[in-house]
Amino acid sequence: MIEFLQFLVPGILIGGVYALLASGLGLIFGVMRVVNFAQADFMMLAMYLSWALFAGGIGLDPFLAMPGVFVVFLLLGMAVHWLFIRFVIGRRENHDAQVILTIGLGLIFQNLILIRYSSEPRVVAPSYANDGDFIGDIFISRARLYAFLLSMLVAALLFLFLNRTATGRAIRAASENWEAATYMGIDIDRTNRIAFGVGVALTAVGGSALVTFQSITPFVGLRFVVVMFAAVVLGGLGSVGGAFVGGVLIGIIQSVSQVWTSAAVKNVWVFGLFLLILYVRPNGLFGKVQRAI
Amino acid sequence: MLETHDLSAGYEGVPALRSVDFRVGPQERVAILGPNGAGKSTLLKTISGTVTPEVGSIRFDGQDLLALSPHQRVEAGIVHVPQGRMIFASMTVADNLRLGGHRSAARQRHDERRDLVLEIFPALADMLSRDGGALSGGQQQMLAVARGVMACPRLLMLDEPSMGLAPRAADEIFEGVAALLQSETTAMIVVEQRAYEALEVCDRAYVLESGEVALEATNEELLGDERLAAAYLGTEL
Amino acid sequence: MRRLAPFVVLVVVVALFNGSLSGRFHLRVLTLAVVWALAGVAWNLMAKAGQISLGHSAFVGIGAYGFTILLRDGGTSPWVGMAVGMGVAAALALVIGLPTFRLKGFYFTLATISFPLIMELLVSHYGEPEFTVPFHPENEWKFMEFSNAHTYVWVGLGMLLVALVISELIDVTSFGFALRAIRDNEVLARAVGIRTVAWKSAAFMISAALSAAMAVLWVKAVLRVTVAEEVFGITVVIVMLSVAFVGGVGQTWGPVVGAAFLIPLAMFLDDSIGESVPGAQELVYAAALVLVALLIPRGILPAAERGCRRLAGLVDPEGRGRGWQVVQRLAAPPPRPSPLLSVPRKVPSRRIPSTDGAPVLEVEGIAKSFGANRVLSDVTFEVDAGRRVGIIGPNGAGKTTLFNIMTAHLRADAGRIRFKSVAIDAMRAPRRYELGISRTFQVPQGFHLMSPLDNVVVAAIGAAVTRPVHASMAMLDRVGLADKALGELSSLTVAETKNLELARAMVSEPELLLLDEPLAGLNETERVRFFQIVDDLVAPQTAIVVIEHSVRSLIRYVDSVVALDEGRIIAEGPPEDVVSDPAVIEAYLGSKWMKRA
Repeated sequence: MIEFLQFLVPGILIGGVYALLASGLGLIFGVMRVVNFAQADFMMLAMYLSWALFAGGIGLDPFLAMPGVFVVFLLLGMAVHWLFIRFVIGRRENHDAQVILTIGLGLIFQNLILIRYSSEPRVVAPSYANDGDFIGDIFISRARLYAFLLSMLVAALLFLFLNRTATGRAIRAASENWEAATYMGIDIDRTNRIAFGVGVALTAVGGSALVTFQSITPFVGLRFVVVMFAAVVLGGLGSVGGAFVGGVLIGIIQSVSQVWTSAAVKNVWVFGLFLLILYVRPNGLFGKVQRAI
Repeated sequence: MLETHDLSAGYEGVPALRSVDFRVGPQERVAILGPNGAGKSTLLKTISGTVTPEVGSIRFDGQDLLALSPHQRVEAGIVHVPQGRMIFASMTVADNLRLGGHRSAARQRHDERRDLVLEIFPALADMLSRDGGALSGGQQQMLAVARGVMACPRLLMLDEPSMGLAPRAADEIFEGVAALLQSETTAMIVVEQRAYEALEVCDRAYVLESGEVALEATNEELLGDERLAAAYLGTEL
Repeated sequence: MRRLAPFVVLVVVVALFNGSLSGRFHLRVLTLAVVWALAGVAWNLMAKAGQISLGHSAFVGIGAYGFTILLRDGGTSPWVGMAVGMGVAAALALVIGLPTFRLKGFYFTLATISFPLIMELLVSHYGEPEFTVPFHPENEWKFMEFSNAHTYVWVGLGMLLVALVISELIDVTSFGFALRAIRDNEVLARAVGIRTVAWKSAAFMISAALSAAMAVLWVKAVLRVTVAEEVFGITVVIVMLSVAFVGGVGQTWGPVVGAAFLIPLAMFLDDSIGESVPGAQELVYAAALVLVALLIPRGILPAAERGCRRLAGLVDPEGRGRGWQVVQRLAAPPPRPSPLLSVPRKVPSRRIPSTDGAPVLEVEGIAKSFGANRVLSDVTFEVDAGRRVGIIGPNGAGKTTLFNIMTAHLRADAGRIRFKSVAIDAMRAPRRYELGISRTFQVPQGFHLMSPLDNVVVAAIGAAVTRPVHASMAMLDRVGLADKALGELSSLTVAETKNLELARAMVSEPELLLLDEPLAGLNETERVRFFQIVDDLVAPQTAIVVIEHSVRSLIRYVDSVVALDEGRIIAEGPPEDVVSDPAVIEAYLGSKWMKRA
């Protein structure tokens, strides 16, 4: 039982960060029905930014850098939407173009970083990186605890943004029914641009919450891309709240699997669960299963 | 106020409008009648901008409407309450109303407008914190109309407000619309199957058939006209 | 001839390069171009059905690991290992694909992502992350151990030619028609009897098997070491996607063009600046993907065809010169049905034997709700053979929902449907079409990337008509579209579109014809003409159910009318009685109208 708890608690902590990563992907899919395969590479870019701020002289703590990371990636996301994404939104024939465009963008990010920083793994090790506290027999890493708490804070801010601001409500409206949103006088293109920026920024902030215990390489996104997709599908494609719950569940499963199998294959459980959900409940744990007959 | 000239439109190759000349004067209330498939909804959509016409022009206050994007048309005061209600089912009634008042001219007047629509549709007052999807069909339709009113429209367009409703619920909608028109000076277009109810709140009507204007008359002229029934049912009396 | 020419060009070009190149690096570029062209052709088979797979590295990994293990542990020839790998890959494809083929949207693409990742993790952790392919110089051909590196190019060319022939054969047979129909409009494809799940599964299995075969060549000719991270890696998928999308997605020759263009570019770039710029190769693929997505989403080949036609049109607007004819011949129009399709086939009838006296259609107690919204309640009626029944009712009355339930596009919450006394509730859309239930759509549906003729041919294939092309052409002739048979779908007028829908519905010689608002958008003369054409086409025993809003035109045509309001039947009987029924007038014009009278 203790062993189980020893894995469960870190699972919840990392799950909080996954929830943040996934809510960004979920927001983008919900609003513009684009599966953004570059999402994990935005996360990777944010991790490098955090690393550069920490290691590059000024020694800025990654958790303190998060507001700055958010703003930078909000703007970057909006720029990428304006430069690329807006041309492939809408019509059904654009589905293929969306897939290859976002895959291509992700690859470009990876390889530009590879060229600039090589493939050597980078680490961000603030003074508290290895600290932690025992609660009973359970060790709680301080870095992970901070990451969890900050993720929850950002999630709360996201909730307020979506529910209490005119732009947030416009995003929710466009995500539910873009035609009706048009009749409300909502500028769909602007809403999409903001949603893409916010979605990218959420994942970016999640990435900078990871850096104190996750080494950084240009290809680190690949490990997280299916984690994010699994969380989003688990919670129901297009639901931000669902993606959030899905992220926590994925974190728990990934961590608790180590009770039974080696840590090296913990992601096999995540990918397997992802497939199971796709096959058995394609609309997510909370959605109604719809099948075309 | 609003004038279309030689307007033709269609989607996916099916023409729904053929050379329609249509006019709404300032503060005028106009009904568009006719059987399904006659092109009534398409006419409203070309005005609000979700359908782009193939040929023809639309002017609103002398301005070329086709040069404006759909959300700019809302800003100009054209508010479309679409067929099938299209309320935001996962959002509360209060949030739906707030979205209705998204237009910048309406944002400052949110509380005042909300009091107005709750007066017109008192049934919504108890439902403000409920999700739109939890409402009955009649209540959803009230919400859809109320959401349109929230925008302080200069031209309000109602598309089949009684569709799929039981007669009593439909009556409530029309009573609400009639009450609204007592206090508001907004111009209005109503697309309806229920001819009598529509004519009751309107000054003038167009009858569309197969995408063409088959008849244009004042409501007094039409109310006694058997041609209207003929347009719907083809009964030759 | 036109189909043969590209094969000749390919063989000549590869032979010239293979004969003249001698440097190790250049030969490696040539070999890899052939390998990735083969991989792209394999990947593209699935794209013919509009399905984007991001998991083909699972099949490449299986092919690579399968033959290496068999060779090392059993001394088995790589050719045998290739066959085994192909079989395993095909089986895995079925496992991956089947659960998602019935779902709409992104699910297939998402499901494919995780398989190679799982396999790479498992192989790296529990198996061997890498091993060298054992060296067997004793028998060049048996062990694919060629001392002359040019031989690998010849073998690769042979395999590429086989894959291209398979792809071409798919294009010109009913297989290709089914895949194109699925990509174009899956709902319509099912409505005309295309068994979408079976066709997609078959395409995915062949595609997987060819990918596994490609892996053997790749490892033997180039890699020499099987590394899990490489053969199961995402880069495999990236290169497949790039060559296919750059050349032409879903097009047989697309990946060949894409590989000929991209592989040398990426490798020469890597060779010249790879030392200082480690990601140069990947950047080429990435830039290609982004540019294709934004500029030519269907790839170089279709764009080049369009360009050639436009150019020839400028030079020779009349289209009389030789130049124009050459362009016409080179710029391939969508594949014509092959002579193979016109060979009479013996197909067992899937129809229900005639049952005399019983109604063709019995609908009993059908109910349907969408969420809290009740659309149909307890709808019951019958249609006898040879009868014409009209369904009327105001907007939102539930008419189209009723049609969708009859053709299995929706499932009813309650109630039963019998067709010629056989319960069909459990049957899916393609099966019901095969039984002889055809429909048209309220918003006319079509396969927009196909000619009008091919639109009908798909329906004929779905109905297992013995000579599909012949029957389709005859049907088009009867609805007056013979001279437009090979044109563009978008150039048809509304009336012609309606006639095409009718031809498509009638080519199966249905016993029950469902027409959903056939008159919408037609003027008075076209309306009269439409029903004349229907009468001309249908057999006397065919039952017809028509939904129509133009009650006036309808009542002249039908024998009886069912009136729906709010999902319930409010009147039923001879047309004149129904339209003068107070309940019907009230439903259309409102209660106050009635009180006024």
